[in-house]
Formats: sequence, C-alpha cells, structure tokens
Amino acid sequence: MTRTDVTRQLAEFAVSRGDQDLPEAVSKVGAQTFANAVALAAGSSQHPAVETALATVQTLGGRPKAGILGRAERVSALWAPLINGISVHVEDFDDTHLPTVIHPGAPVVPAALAAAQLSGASGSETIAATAVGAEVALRIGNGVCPSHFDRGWHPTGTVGNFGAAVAAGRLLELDVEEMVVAMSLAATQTAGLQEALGTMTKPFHAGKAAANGLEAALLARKGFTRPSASIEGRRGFAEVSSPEADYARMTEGLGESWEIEHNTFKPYACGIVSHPVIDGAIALRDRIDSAEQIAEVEANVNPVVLDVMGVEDPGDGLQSKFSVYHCFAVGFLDGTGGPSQFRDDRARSPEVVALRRKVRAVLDPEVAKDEAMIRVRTVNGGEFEHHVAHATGSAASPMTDEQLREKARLAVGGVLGARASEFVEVAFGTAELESVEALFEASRP
Amino acid sequence: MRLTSELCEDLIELYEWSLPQDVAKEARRSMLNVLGTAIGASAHPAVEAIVEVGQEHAGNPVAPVPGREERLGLLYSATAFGLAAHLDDFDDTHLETVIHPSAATFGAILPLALDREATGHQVLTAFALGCEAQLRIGAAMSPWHYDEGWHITGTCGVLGAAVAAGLLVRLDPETLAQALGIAASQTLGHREAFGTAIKPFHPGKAAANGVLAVLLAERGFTGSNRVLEAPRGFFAVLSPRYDAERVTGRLGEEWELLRNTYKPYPCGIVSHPAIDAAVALSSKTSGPEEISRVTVHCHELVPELTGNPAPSTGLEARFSTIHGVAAGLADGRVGIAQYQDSRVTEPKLSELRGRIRLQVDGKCARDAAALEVELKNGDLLYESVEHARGSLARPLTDVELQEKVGGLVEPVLPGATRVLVDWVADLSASENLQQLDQILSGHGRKEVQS
Repeated sequence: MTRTDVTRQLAEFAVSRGDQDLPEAVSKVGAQTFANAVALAAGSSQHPAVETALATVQTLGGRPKAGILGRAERVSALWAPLINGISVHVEDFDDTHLPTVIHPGAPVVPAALAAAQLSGASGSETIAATAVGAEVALRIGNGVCPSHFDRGWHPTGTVGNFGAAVAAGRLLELDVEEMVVAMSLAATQTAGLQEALGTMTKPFHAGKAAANGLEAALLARKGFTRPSASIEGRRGFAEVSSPEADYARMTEGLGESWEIEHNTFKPYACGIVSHPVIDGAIALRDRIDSAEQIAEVEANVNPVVLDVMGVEDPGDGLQSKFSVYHCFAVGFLDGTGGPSQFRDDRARSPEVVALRRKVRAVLDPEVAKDEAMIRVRTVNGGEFEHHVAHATGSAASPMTDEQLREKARLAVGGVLGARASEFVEVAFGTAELESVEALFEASRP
Repeated sequence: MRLTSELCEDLIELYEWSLPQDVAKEARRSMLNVLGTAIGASAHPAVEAIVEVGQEHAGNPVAPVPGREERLGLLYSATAFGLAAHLDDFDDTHLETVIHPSAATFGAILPLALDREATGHQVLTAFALGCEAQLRIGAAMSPWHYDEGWHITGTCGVLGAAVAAGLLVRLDPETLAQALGIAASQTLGHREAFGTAIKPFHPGKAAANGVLAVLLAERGFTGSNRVLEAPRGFFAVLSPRYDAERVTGRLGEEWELLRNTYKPYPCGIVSHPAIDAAVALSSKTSGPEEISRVTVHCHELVPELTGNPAPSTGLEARFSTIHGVAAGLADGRVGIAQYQDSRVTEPKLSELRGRIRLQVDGKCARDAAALEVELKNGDLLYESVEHARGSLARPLTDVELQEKVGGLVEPVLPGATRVLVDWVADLSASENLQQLDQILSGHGRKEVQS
C-alpha cells in the first residue's frame, strides 16, 4: 500500500461508487444519519446560536436558493450549510462515530442538502451522497485519530470538511479530477479547536465545515486548480495535523467494509456515559408508582461516569447535562431524556431536585461503560432492581428506526407542534422523495 | 496569563491614536503594493472561478473585485481580493515569519470599510494594526509552526483579518477577543498546496473568515476569549512551541510592520538574490544558446522551497529558482511576463534550465547568492549578490515600488497607476473608500482627472 495516492483513491471511490451499489445496511444507516440530522436541525432552529448566525448571513443577502430547516427563510446556497450545520450540532444530540468521536451528520447532511437543492437531486441520491461523504470522512478520521484529537483538534470541524466536499461533489457530479481538487480545498481548511467547547463556536465548526465543503465542490466544478496529494503529501493534512497518521486505515477495504455502519445515535441529550442510568430509570417507571415512593437509589456504574457526570446539584440546564443524578431523576419522572429535560427550568424544578438528591453513584470497575445496575429502596421497604446490559444507542444495542422516529418527534415537537409526526414521516421517507424541497416545506413551522 | 485579552485591549487603545510616521509610511507602501498585485492578477482563472461562484451563491454584490467590473458580496469580495493579491506571489513579505500580511488584512478591510463608511484614517490604522497583530502572532510561533507544514499566511491571516475588521466595526475588547476565538477555529493553509491556486486561496479565505468571525461576534455569537493561550487553543494546537512575549511585548513601540518587504520579482523570495545576479549578467551574454553551464551558489532553503528544476506551468515556475535564473539571463528582466505559461514552456528556456544547477553553500545568507556562468566560448562569468533587491538591507525605494505597481496596474487599468499612487499617499485625508472603489472597478479615472 503506497501512501501516495490516498486522496485519489478516496476521490475515485467517492465518484464511482453508484447509488445502487451501496449495501443495504449502508443505505439504512445513511438514511438514519440523514433523518436524525434533519430532525435535530429543525428542532434547534430557534436556538440563539442559530438565530444569531442566520441574522448575520441575512445581512449579506444574495440569491435565496437554499433552505433553512425548521424555518421559512431561504438564503444563498453557501450560507445555508453554515446555519443548518450549527443547528444539527448545537444541542450535542447528533450522531457519533464512537472510535473517532466524529459527528458526521452535522457537516455532511447540510452540505448534501444545499447541493441537492442546487442540482435538483432526488432524496435517494442525497442519502447516498450522505453515506459516501460520511464514509470518506470517517475513514480519514480513523487514519488520524486518536492522535489528531489528542492534539486538540475537534475532528467534526476538521475531517467534516472532507465529508461535506465529497457529499456535495457527488451531487454536483464532479469527475475524479474535480473531486481531488474539492478534497484538496477541503483538506487545507480543516480547522476547529477544542478550546471552542462550551461556546457557540463548537457547533459553528460543523456548519463551517459544511459550507467549506459545498464551496470546495462548487469551485472544483469551475476548474479552480489542479489536483494535489492534499491528504498524504509531506505537507498535507494528515502529516501536518496528526503525529501518527495511519494511511492504510483510510483506504483498506474501501467499498467492502463500511465505517458508517459504526455510526451511533444518542437517545438522550447528555453525555453518553450516563445513558445506561437513564435507560434504567425509564424501565423502573413501570414498577414504582411515584417519585415520592422512592427512599434511595443506588446506581452501580463505570468509574468514568463521575469523571464527567459528577455534578451533584446542577444550577442550570448546561450543568444538568453533566449530572448523573439529574439524569436518573428526569428519566424516572419524564420517561425520556431529550433537550427539554436539560433546560434551566427542569434543572431547577423542585420535584427533579428532590428526586436527584436520593441518588447515589457507586463506582464499579467491573461495570462496562454502556452498563448500569440500578437498585431502588422504597419508603415502605420495597426493593427493586434493574440491570441495563447495554445502553440504548450503544454499538451493541443500536436505536431502532422506531426509537429514532420517536426521538425525532420529540426534537421537533417544540417547533412544529401537531405537524411533528408528519414531518418525521417525510424525513424518514426521504429516499422516496423526488426532491428535497418537500423536506424543507414539511419542516416549516 | 490573559494574552488574548491583553492583545485586544492594547490594539483597541492603539486604534484611538495616530500611527507613528514611519509606521504609517510603511503601511501605505504595503497597501500600494498589495493593491497593485491584486489588480495585476485580476484576469487569472482562479479569480474567475471565485467571481463566478460568488456571484451565483454568495451575497448581494456590494464590493469591488480589483481590476474587474463585477461586484461581489461582502465575504466573497474579501476572498477575491486576498486570492488575487497573493496569486502571483508578488505581494509583501515579512522575512522572519515568511508571512504575506497585507493580502488577508486588506481583503478584510476593503468590503467592510465600504459597508461601514470608514474613513481613510481608520482604514490606514486598522490595516497597520491588523498586519502588526498577524505578524506578532506569527513571530511567536516561528519557525516551528511553518516547519510543521503550515502556510503561515493563511493560519495567521485569519487573525490579522479579524483584528482589522474588529477594529473597523469598533468591537469592545471582550467581543474582539471572542471574535479571535471564532476566527482561530477557521484557520487554513497547508504547505502541500504550494504550486496550486489553493495557496493564494489561503489569504483570500482567511480574509473572509476573519470578517465572518467579526460579523458573528458583533451580533453576540460566542467564542473563547482566550484562544491564543488556552491549553487546547491556537498556539498549543498549531505549534510545538511558542513565545507569548512576542505577541504583546513592546506593542505600539516596536513594529514588525517596519520589517515588511516588497518583492521586485513575482516568485518565491529565496530565489531573488540569484535572479538579481542573473539579471546583472544578462547583458554580458549574447543569448541562452551561448551558455553551457550555470551554478547557483545559494542558501539551503532554495532547493527546499524553490527546488523545482523543470516547471511546466507559470505557477510551478514561481517555485523554481532555476527558472528565475534562466529567465533573468535570457531576458534581462523578470516580471509577470516571465511567468506566463507560454514563456515557461518555451523550448529554448527549458533547455537553458537543464544546464543550471543549485549548489547549497552553508555560509550563504538567505538574501545572498552567487552565480557562475560558463559560456560555450570558454569564458567564465561571476556575479555575487550580498543583499537581494527588496531585502531589508536593500529595500525597494518608493520610486521602484511605484514602477513595480505600474507594471501590474497598467495592463489591466491603463492610466490608473498615478491615481492609485496619489490616493494611497493622501489616504489619511479620505472621507471614505468610494474613490478607491471606483479606481479598482475601472470607473475612477475620468472623474479623478477632471
């Protein structure tokens, strides 16, 4: 395996792999990735980060050729992926490729959508472009992670550029030479510092990667420049931003084994390590009548839980996302763990506060990261336990299509109200759409 | 350490004052030079591509593209300016860092100053401070950052553009710091792109990204306010080492901008002393056919950065010292014409390149070179250059700079050079950038003359 033609091999794959030649499992996870991202974008379309960025690009004007999910406004094609990328990622509720911690949907889907609006591509073409774009991004991510992440890069912002360029490039029908140029423009724009975590700049990474990717494809189609070895070259992306790049991982088994099959979806809008506790809390709802019945909760969890989820008395929504105690309480009281369960009002609600004070976490190295054992003692002496072997959304227990639809309905409920279900059906039926315009229409409040 | 905040506070304070005279003069020289290079490259296909994509997909047409009739949106005008300005590798160079500071900085300023009706005085000050901040940030991580493979003009250009734009729109220190946080997450530029149009795309996109960061921050979009010094921030992630003292130490008293230089030849700067020697020897030879062998004694960076012995396009030739020497010997001058594709592929010139070799001399300074030319009649010619024209020790004079700008402007906007030179000279008195807009669009000449 030479490393001199990685960029070209990936570009050839991206251009030549036919929509019909995607394995069924790949098409399925591609469609899930797409629908999940679209629903989250519509659901977060009123978030202050989205409002601010949209107001900014609206002052720039231009020909309104592309849609904003969950909103009536249309903007210039290059700005739409920026806004939609922010809204997919802003609640940290989007898809995750666990080995690299890349969120492929946020940069790739918005770029694909805008390109599809420009080219008039069908829903199934857009989903195939999403799957292939994500696949290329994840393979490059595998080649540079974990050392790339450890150095301080936010890989959704960096390798997201490649996925966005490939998805857009496919829909704009680039040839191989043009695709190499698009990937080179993407390579040189890989950016996003982990210092941005906790600010609006973090979801901006995803949006900017999406916009850069679409722009790269548009410029390449105009014959912008000649191809170069932008990933594997001596001064290329991998060498410059990863101390231990593994080129074989980028190309081996290309088209045979699929990284996108390892994409996972979060059922709950908080740190992934407390998801088994929420699963357990939801399961116990059927067996215990009310929170007042509960005297004490003991959750046996992996020690990593308290590294990141140890906030005992969260004062606001953001802090509550890092509290395993809060997670149990909302899981039990609300039966779910969507964005609403981690807002300021819920974090301060007296019934939530009362219940989470009864929860104790017991660290147990024998318990796996996606596992939990919950024991509840009631005020009248009853004892209940529930064992979660693999949390919902983990690699061993992926979310089902129905669970993803339910998640999507909850995500868009606040924006679309009674039309939430209708939108979710359109989003999950994108493969049947002649054009993606129907998706934007259905997402309009 | 609160480096980012301190930098922003200091810059905003300096923006309220007038620049020292020597700094203002160098800022005007940098600006004139970069306006010239941007106009000179206006017809390049890469500019064409940016204009087409920008017209179709990005923003209302509110700002000019130098040397062209089309107008572009705020961000795309910035991209087009920065790209064109650096396209011929003929813009300014800060030698210690190898940063070309003006392309991204003025690219950010031009559309924004028009939009906000900034005065000439504000433009000059924001430009100088944008360049200065960019150079200081670059100096703090030089040479390590560049050695890792980053194109420092793109990575630091984003921050210089954000500083200039942020000062123009009068962000407060905290908001400017957050704008730098947003900008620092949009760095771009790997050196792998050298030799393709993606290299000049770096300062072009850097200009647009800097403006975008400022427009977002102005509306309350949040970013880190300590991005330079944070453990997973700009310096830590992009450079194996850095020296924070270079960022804010004696800011406002010592100026990196005074160490900015202007190229006499449109190619990689390490080629320049050898080209000086070639031009000097040209009149002593009667044509390329007479030359049997040439040895270029040079600094070790020459083969590293511009070692291409057989370029096949004008762009590749800019990274070929051997081509520059061949053209200098054959033509007695080295300008844009010597880097046209047709000239680069001309068989006689290509044959001459084949008879030229590079010889690294460990004692040779970066701005020095010597040429040994062996003629077919057995004569030996020798020329040694101690300091290249355009180097810090031998800067281009104002007249030489104006001649250079004239050579770039006249083929595109005939008759505009004088007006442009005068406009830059009187910049501090300008109420706004309307006249520059007209000059760049090719509509300003008559009105100005009447």
